[in-house]
Amino acid sequence: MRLYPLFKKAVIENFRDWKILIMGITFAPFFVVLMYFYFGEATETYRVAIINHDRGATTRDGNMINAGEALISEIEKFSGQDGAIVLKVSREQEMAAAQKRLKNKSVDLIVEITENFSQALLDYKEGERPPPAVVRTFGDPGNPKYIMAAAWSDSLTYQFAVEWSGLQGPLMFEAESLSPLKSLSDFDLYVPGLLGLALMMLMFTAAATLIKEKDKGTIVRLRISNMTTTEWLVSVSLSQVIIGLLSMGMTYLTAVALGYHTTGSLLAMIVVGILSCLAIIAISVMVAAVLRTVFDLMTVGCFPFFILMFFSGGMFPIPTISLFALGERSINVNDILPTTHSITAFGKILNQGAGLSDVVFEMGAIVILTVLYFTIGIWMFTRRHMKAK
Amino acid sequence: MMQTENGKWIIRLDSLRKSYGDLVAVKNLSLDIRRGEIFGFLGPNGAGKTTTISMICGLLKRDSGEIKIDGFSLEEDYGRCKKLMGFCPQDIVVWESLTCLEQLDFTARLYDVPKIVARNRSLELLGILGLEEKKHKLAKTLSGGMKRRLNIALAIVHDPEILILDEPQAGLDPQSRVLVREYIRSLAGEKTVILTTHDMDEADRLAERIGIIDHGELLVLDTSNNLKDQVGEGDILEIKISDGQEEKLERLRQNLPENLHHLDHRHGNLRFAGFNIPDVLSDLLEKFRRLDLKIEDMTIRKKTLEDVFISLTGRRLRK
Repeated sequence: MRLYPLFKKAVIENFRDWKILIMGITFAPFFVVLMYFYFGEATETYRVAIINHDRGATTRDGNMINAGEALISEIEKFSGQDGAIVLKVSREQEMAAAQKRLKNKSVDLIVEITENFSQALLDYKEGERPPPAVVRTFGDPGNPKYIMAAAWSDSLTYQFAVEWSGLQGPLMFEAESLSPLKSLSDFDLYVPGLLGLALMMLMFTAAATLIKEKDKGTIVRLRISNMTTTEWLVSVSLSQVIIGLLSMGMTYLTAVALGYHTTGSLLAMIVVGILSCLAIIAISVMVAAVLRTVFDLMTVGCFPFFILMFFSGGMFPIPTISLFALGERSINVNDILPTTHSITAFGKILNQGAGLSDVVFEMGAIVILTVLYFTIGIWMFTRRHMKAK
Repeated sequence: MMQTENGKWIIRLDSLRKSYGDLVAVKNLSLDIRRGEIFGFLGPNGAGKTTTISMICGLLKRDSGEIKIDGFSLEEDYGRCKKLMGFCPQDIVVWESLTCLEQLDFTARLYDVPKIVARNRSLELLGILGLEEKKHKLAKTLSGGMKRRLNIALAIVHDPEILILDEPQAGLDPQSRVLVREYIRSLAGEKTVILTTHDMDEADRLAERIGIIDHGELLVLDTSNNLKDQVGEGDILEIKISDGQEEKLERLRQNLPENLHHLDHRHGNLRFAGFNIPDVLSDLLEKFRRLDLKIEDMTIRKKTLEDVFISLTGRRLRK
């Protein structure tokens, strides 16, 4: 068998030509750090400027109340499942000052409590039916945090009014988490995509391992030897799986070092990782088939990498374009990318605590796409680089 | 194994043809190469040498014709044929990030040579080719001459019957040139060596038989001595004169000393062939003086393969 010498050579060369390797295995961990600094590990916080014009009211037994202050206190105390504050409150006296802060994006929402807020709630509680208490909110639709900040604020205000007035309205919100785990921060949500990114970087090391032989002319020696193309590609794949797992491991450990934790199955993560490595190597073989030099790979080769990176759904949500339905599942255009399924599987495992049996569909899809792309890749590569012309 | 009336052939090319678009690189080339001989394949750059050996190695597809290696059709038994061959490309083709020993071991293993045999063979070759001290050095740290020697070692590490060397001495320093020449010479009888070169002297020194190719056609095929005899008997006298003296030259040609034959005249270079040239030299120079032909330079030398090439093509090989 010529697999072992081919495998050994591929490993030695990859580690000695360390520049591409370093780029490949540090790219995703670097992004993890970047995302951590951008989003932080905690629940997302929304900044709210509150202007309290409430004059308060006096109850029948002569007590002074200020429902506006009580509402602000409730908003300030509100926290997520992980105990982190959701709405960070700052007080403003004038609307002009609050709007200035909204424009320069130092707050996401303005809440104005009107003068008769306490009186209206008190009247309702004592059985009268005056005009309803008014709380105004202001925001910038161009700010993606505005809607969430308003939703939380409105919900808390409505709940507060119901409790204070003692009136049961026709509507009640009951929010329940479907996940048995902790609430997820934006950073948590990015980690599965970043694991996918770690594996996508394999495209460069795997394709470079192949295309370098063409670039340097050493492919001639391989072609005239007893080695078969399949033996070569299998040995290169094995060496690349090691690099892929190394890259994935470094990315995961970087996330863990920055506070990320999961109760998902590490075995499932590794199995999905290995399958995903093979899928990306299959794509690399196709990429290497159409290129001639390592320079081509580092320039033209970035295009398929960007397709994987941005259309697999790991970096940001992309619109779904359905192709057909498979049972209850809709098969979308980006499902032809194996990394779409990899990132979905990583998301289920890491953020929803799934095990291998929960990601059978994703693993099946990765395997089918790997076989398909390897078949096409080997055919293209053999035809382009290995056969006499 | 193939037998012909002239002995044992290990490579037979029959009406080989290869073209690139309108350019016909090899035209109906037929050639037999004997088992155990060092065969020189000579021709200027672009003559079709590399194309021919690339077809023999199976790296290029031929348009038509047939190649047989040790009696097996290259097309039908490529797996068997390529085991018999070792190929040293014209360019230096080594794995820069592997050590000399690693890449020799690796190449041998690709030909299914057992690990221990591969290691011993690699060390032996490194010793023969003067690379023993560099065995643990990465190829990228070697000098150009050392890389060339490693290039040759990689072609033979699996102990093939046929060794095909494409311009193996191009770019070699004098020391490496001697080393490589001696090594190739030591293979005579054991291996069949096909040596492509445009260096006539090197081919003359090494090859038992020489085929001269130009514009994709085999012009002649014979031993070096027989080829040189085709030019004329004796040695060569070259005289450089200034241009524009055609009329005088014609008178000189009609009045040459006995045993001296005029071969050709190009760009002021006159070539004569003959025995005992020093004996007739004073007579010849007197004729030059009488005709008022100014001599710029003069050389007496043995005949070379370049003279054969010039006689066949009317031009110098290196041009």
